[in-house]
Amino acid sequence: MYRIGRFSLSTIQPFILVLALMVIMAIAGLITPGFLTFFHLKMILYCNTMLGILALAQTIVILSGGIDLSIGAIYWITVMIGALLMVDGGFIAPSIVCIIVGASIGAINGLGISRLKIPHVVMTLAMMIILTGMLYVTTGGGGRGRAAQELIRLSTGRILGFPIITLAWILLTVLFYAILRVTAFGWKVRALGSNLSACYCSGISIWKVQVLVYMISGTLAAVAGLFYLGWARTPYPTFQSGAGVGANIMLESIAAVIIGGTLFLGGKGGVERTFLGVLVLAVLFSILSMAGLGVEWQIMLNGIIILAIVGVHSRIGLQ
Amino acid sequence: MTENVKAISIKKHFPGVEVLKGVSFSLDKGKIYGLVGENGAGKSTLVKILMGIHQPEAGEILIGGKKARIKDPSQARYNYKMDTVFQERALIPQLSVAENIFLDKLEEFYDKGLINQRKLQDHAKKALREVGLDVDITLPASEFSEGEKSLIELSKALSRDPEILILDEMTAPLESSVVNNLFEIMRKMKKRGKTLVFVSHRLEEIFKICDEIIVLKDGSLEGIIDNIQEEDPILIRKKVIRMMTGTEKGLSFPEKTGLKRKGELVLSLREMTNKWLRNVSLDVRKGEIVALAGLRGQGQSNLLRTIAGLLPQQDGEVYILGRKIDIRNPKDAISNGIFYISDKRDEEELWLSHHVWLNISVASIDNRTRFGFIKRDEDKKAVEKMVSRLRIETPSLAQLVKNLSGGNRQKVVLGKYLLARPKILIVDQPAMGLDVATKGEIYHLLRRLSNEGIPTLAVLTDLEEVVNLPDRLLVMREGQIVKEFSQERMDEEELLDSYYG
Amino acid sequence: MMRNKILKKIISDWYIYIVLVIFWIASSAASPFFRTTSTFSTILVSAVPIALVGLGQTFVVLSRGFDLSVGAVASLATAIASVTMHWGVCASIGSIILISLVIGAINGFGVSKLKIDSFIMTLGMMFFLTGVSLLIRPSPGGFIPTNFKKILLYHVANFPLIPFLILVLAAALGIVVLQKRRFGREIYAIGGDPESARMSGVNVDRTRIKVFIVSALSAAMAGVFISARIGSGNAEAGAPYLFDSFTAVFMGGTLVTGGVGCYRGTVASALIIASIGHILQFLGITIWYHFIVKGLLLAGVAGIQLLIVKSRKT
Repeated sequence: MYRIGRFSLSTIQPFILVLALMVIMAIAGLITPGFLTFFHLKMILYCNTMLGILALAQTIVILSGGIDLSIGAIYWITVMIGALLMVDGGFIAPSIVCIIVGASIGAINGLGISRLKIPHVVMTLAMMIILTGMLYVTTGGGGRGRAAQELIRLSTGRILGFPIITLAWILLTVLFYAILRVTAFGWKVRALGSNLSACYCSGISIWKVQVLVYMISGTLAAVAGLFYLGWARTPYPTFQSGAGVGANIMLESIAAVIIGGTLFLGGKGGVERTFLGVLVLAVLFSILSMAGLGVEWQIMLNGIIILAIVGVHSRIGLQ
Repeated sequence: MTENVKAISIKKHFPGVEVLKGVSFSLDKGKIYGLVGENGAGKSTLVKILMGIHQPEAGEILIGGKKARIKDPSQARYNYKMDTVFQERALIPQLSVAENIFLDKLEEFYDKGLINQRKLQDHAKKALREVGLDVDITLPASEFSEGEKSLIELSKALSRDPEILILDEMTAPLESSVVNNLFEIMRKMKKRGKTLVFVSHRLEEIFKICDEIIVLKDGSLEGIIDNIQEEDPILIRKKVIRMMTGTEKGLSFPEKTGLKRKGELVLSLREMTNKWLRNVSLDVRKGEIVALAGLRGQGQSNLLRTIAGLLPQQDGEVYILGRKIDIRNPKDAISNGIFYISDKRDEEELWLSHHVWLNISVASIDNRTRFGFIKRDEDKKAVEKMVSRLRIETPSLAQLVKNLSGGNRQKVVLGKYLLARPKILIVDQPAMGLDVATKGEIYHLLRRLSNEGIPTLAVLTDLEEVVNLPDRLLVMREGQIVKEFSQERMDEEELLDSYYG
Repeated sequence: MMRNKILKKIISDWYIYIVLVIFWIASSAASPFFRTTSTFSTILVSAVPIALVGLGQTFVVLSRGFDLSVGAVASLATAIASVTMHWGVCASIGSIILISLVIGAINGFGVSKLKIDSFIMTLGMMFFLTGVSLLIRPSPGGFIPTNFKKILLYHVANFPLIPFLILVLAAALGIVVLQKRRFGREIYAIGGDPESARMSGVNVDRTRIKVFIVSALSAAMAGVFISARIGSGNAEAGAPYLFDSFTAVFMGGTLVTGGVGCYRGTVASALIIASIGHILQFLGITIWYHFIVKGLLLAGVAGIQLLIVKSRKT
């Protein structure tokens, strides 16, 4: 294992990222004066709040040794269902329903994986496809309904000048950071991702942890969906060329986790790293659009960064 | 020249453990060598180094007098005409037997660019006939018994006509008639001037077929016995066993206090039976250390794993503290206070990439939580207490377990289970691979625990351990308990005799 | 006893075709629109790109990997085709082939030599290629020569001859290579037990690189076909085929853990997937339902797979 002083590469990675981030922002700030303003940085965070929450959820799943391919679909189904239910003006009840739906879908994922022994990839992939179908059936392909006023106020509102939902994202990150450190559940999640056999032999209840992990993922996806609905006001028709709804944002959530430095094989890493990963992506994308480069460059960059990071991980790790 | 293979000071280490500490030997043509040693002695690693699967940190290998660079199995096979039948079968379950045999030469059977099944099958049948096997070679390899798979691998190796052939634990799944066939093949090869290495735990077979015996112990060459036929067979046997499991200077053992002071019954097995066990019955009482001994692979480890819930039980009953219980998985065993420590520590007991704190605490963490939140102070104190009680050498609780030495890792595993308050510990080789001082610590610890009311049922292989540690000793052979010893001073001769029955 | 075993093996090898036939029969019974030749003709044509992407993906999954970049490679192929076809069809296809070889080699290198998990490696590649495709072809368009389209989609009296031949050729190649070439057997070896394969002398690294090259190449060919069908280049055209490729592979009997399965199942699944949209459309059910059906089919077949594997073990 490569070492710089006493630390292994995976420990240092967040610091390298922070350094790189500061350098990039400094350069951007020199080129574009408006970049380093508080306003602009807040804007960057605000635009990526939804991705941030999904990446947070994905981090927990990956830490436990799994993966959630259905997270984008749960996200969008919440958007659609929420809009449909809120058409008559309700807010609390429809929101609760959405959250319950998200949690239940997660529970089904978790049960399928832990009790029926369906591989993580297959279960969540099938779930994504099924949700895609159900989504279109309930909404007929076009967006129907709209967000409740309260929700719109929530998603576009600010506290002390800071967007509420972005604050929520940060608080959720802190919350789960704490949960992973301070609760028995959190420790078991890491143990699970690190060595499943040892958990089995040591008598740790694997299925309970797995179901809970996926339920958390589904719930967070639903929360992100509600936030998006409040921001978009009406559910934009989201026909994503048949690839499966939410596929893009799901892949981006995985990308953020990897870039942040959580190991794909589980166990090592953390939600704070993913936060950093989202930040890096957000800043880079912002720079690209300011430079007049379109979405395609962002997507390309996503890919290059992922490959660079894992490539470096592996190269160094091989020594 | 008659010298075929020469190894000079081979050193190999894996994270946390030095597996080979400078082994040297030489093998001549036209001889059959036995390679023996306990688990962890380094036999498999040595074989893998010869076959190019591992690279040694130091040392040289000379083949035919010339320095050999073996980077992968193909080089070993084709450049140096050296092949092995591995202990872990190297057959692909889904491929047919014929394909498995010729997997790295399939293009030799091309007919107009496509594999000619007929030709492949004919050659496969021929290869199998050499080892006396006649089976349907179109079936996937997974359909065959362990014994048949062994022979298929042998025919795979023989098909390349190697000069040096290594057989790593081949005979375990074979019937005696098949083993005799194997020996015939080996003798024929010996006459043709080949070099054979026979790695096995089955000492009767070693003595039957080998010209010389190389004994490894704890990564070093313990000795070479080259006058097998000349000495009294009984003496030779005992000499070899002593060399394999023998005397370590400076081992200290606690007093066998469980001989006289026996408490209530903790664990009882009645007629436990499954694929590997036959009507095993035993009792373990408070204050005792009970050991399962005997030659390797006679069911000792499988007995422990069955009690632990890792292997299925077909018949028989288990009682804990007088109450009948049903064990179907590790959780059942643990909830009844039966804590199993596997000999595969890294795979089944430790979370290597995490710190000492988590490794010791996580299995029993629910005992130190309130509403799901870890009571940090209580937890930290409990773990610290365990660390000091077991004298685990670590700079801090945050040290990653993968950076700990083998001995300390073992202590961490013990700490993990002790924290969960077991009723009985069942351990597979508690002191395996540890240095002398640590071994002593573990022995005294187990004795202390049994005095405090937590008895131990252990599989022990080290002769010194077997003789000096347990209050009661159960010798197993072929899945049954064949003899029980319970003496203050154990007679080594009597013990070794019982291994053979 | 023996007859039972053979029967069991035949069923477990070919059950997906039984499902396909039953599906077709049921669909034809349910809707008069379905049992027309033009429907079957369209199904066949729709199945070709799925089968092609599925070819590479089958190879990858068999060797215990995932190729998430296949959709992006197909999209890239359509984009490149739309801007290079005016040089000449052969030159265009030639360059597409070359580029796909490079992509596959990079994927393979990352997975085998750098030991990067195939999921991540191909994920990164997918992002990268999607971006490149958008750069080349920001919006659908470009030039695909009419002759090229005509040839590739050549029909003989309502029967799509060339597409059919492409399908047959792909099936033949896939099945033959996997069953009767050393490369194919090594793929099964790696997927079945990579350690044993290595110990048995299989060059795992080199084989893995070849597998990813095959995957990229077949995805590129799918892209070429797609470009003929839609008559333009489109950076989003390949995306749906990513998940369809996995669905076809798993439905077709290849285990997600590799080592077991074969291409004939993938082809049948491609036909089933292509058929689903049509029958639902004819039954007047909104086309979105076909996602549900696909998902349920995938889950159902995965479940059957698990049962078959479990019963084989006991």
